[in-house]
Amino acid sequence: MEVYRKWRIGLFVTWIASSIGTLATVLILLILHVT
Amino acid sequence: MTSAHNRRPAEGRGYRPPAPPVDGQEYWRIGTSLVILPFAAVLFSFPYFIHYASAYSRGVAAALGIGTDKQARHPQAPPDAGRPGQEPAWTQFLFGPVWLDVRHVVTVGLQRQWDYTSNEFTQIRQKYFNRGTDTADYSFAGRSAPHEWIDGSGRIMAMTMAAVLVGLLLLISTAVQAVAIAVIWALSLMAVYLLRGLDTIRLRIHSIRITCGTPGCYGSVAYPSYKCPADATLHRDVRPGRYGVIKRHCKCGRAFPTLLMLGSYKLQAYCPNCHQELLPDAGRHREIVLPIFGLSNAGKTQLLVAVAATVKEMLEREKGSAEPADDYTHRWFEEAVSKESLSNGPSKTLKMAQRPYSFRLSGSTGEIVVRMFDAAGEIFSAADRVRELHYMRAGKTFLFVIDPWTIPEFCPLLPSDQRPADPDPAQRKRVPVQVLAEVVQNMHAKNVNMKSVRLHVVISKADLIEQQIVEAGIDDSNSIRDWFAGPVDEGGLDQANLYLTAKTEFKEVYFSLTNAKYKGGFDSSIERFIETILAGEGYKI
Repeated sequence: MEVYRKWRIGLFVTWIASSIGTLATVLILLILHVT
Repeated sequence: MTSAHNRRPAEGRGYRPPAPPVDGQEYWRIGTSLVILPFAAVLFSFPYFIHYASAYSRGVAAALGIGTDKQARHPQAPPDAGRPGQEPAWTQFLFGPVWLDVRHVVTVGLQRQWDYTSNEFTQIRQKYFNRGTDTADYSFAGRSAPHEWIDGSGRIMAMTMAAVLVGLLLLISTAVQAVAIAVIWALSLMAVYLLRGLDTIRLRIHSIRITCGTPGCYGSVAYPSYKCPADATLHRDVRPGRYGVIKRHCKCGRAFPTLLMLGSYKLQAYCPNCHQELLPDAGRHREIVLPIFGLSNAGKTQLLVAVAATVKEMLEREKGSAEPADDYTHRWFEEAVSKESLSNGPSKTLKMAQRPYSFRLSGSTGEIVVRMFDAAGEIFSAADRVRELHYMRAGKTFLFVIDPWTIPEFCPLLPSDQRPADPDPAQRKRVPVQVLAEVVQNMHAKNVNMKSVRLHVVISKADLIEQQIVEAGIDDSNSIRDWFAGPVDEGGLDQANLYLTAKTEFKEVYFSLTNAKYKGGFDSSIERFIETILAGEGYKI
């Protein structure tokens, strides 16, 4: 029995999304800075 | 004598011959390695970056119990039974466990990265810095060549760059994640108060109050407690909070709604004070509490039977219904409307406090629950016992039943052949005005705002004084009042004191004359009486 399962999946998704989002933002800023 | 200098240690026991001198080819290798070192470091940092990110993601997944490689934190199980301030339910994820999970995720993620770094570093060290004697390349006699040191350093530089980069990104993304969680937490907190507020407003708009019908408690219930439908554990306060916003999870894992407006009324409700059952679907519909009081043999129970049977008939005539709301009322009603009971009159009310008779009325103006609290007249003979009747706090309409024969001023009005031969001395000791005074005193002691309560003075047994009613020309509340409070020499009952007390203390005072005797049906006075009471409570049949 795992009452937090859905919440934990949600947390994982947002965690990965925020990591990818951060990486993408940094890359975009870098590209914009270079060009 | 053999010197130590000349001794040669056995092969494979740590002996290393001195490194040979660096040759020309090796200089070329060193030079090339030094030239490509920065480029190689940058190039190799990409796969390291991917590896680090992957290790961290796997760590996050494992820490959250996702995938096969689970390393999830085991949350603390709720207590078996609710202790003060604690419920036997799992704490809502956002109100505690999420931050423990975040900490666990970061710990596990970093541990995975550290494991990867440590493993990779060991491999680099073995490959580039500490070549063993078992290698096939004996050109440096078991030692790494200088250019390998440079290559290894490049690897370490690549790894360090990737680690720093990933570390910075994860630091930022963790901060973003923390902010996101904080926002969701704040929204949930707002949702908690919003939902509780909406539910309270809904209850206020519909004037829904819940009263415990258990004798000895009779408490006003701020919000029902519920038992888990799976394991019957009592949850004292299920409203949105740290144990759930829309639903809460019992310790057994079963989820159920947190508010009446979200469907908690479908569960069996319990009084949070005495833990006894409340009415089924308590809090779903408005409850009208009708405390009935009066001296012994005033005709209270007879009136209740007549009201219950008549209201059922009235609603069924209008294609509505009036059904007992609980088993107790069902049994009582079945017995009370039986032929034998109707002809002989209802059995005397027990002297101890009892559960109310509750009926669910469904008509054109909606559904309500009427709860009639009938207390034995003997309770009103003892002032201290009146204090047990806590349900009076919930009543907005009080029914004060008076047997006219208990009014001393009434008997002289009767023709001598109708006067009671031997008035009951026990009844004569007390008069209705005393009962009213004690009820009022009790209400004051309980800080009840009497100015929000209507009082219906019900003069029962109208069938016995039919002739006097006709002579006095009584038909509506005002004419009954004038007759009731008027002086004896004008044919009145001289109960001005009672009327003035009632008028001073209560919001409104109504008078009714009722005949609750069953003669193939109940008298029309009961219908008028019911209509007046329900109209006062805003319900029309």
